[in-house]
Amino acid sequence: MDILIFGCTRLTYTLVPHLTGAGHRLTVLDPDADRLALLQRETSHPPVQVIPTVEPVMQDYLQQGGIAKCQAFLALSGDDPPNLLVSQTARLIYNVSRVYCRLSDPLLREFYRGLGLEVIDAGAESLERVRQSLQSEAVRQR
Amino acid sequence: MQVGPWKLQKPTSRRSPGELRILVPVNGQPASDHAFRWACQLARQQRARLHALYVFEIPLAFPLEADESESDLTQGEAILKRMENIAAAEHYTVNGLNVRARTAGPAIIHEAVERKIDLLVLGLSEPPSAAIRPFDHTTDYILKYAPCQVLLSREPQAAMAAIDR
Repeated sequence: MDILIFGCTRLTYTLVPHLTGAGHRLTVLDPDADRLALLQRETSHPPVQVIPTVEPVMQDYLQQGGIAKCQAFLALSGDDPPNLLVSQTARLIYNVSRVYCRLSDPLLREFYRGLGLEVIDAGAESLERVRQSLQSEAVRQR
Repeated sequence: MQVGPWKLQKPTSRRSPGELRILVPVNGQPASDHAFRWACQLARQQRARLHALYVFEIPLAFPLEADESESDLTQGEAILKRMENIAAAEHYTVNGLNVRARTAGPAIIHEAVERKIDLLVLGLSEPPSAAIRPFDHTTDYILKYAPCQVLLSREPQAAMAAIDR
């Protein structure tokens, strides 16, 4: 599957090897070029496409990252507000079939889950749930 | 924890590009400006029709048809003019709507229904009781009664950010 990831964080570093290992094609957006370079060095086989962005994040970056044709979108940055904005855009505008939004604030997690957003935290259980869900989706699409 | 009850439209029925209609309620606050800029970018990429709506809330002590004061008119027009400038900076155009109502929520829903809006984009400021309730009354009303999809653009919360640091 084509997967677009917003934010190059520890969560991203943890998840990416599992996803590339499962054969998914990944694109990662982040304003920090050093983090992206490190991610590329650590996951060179198969390669991960990275796109450095500038703040504030604009729609153009999502388009450039292939949001219009990706099958899954993960907002994994450390900031709740941008994660919410891009996740809702992926879900409501681009109809991405699987959208995951990382939220740190427990209250926001509950409220946005109530609004139908697939919300995750930074815990290992969440990551495993995402990994398994994406794997099931990939199998379903074959 | 009790959440909702909100019943948002599922993101399934979509008009084709060029037919999509986006409505952004604006009030001059930074959160509303930020949401409007995001909506401009969305509209440009989707070739959507973009409307900015300013609702002037008339206090119950005054009749609805009371003459607007010069300052009320100027405030709404100034905000809509700024939205036009933001849209121009994003290489897009916007249709400004200046309406009067008792409360903003029902007026926004009315415009969304009348204009067959597909997407409402709301900018959320930090409410006074953010730790207990994340939305203000207008947002709550819109989430309950919106006839279309709603995209919430949330401003970073200064108080919470300070705690996180």
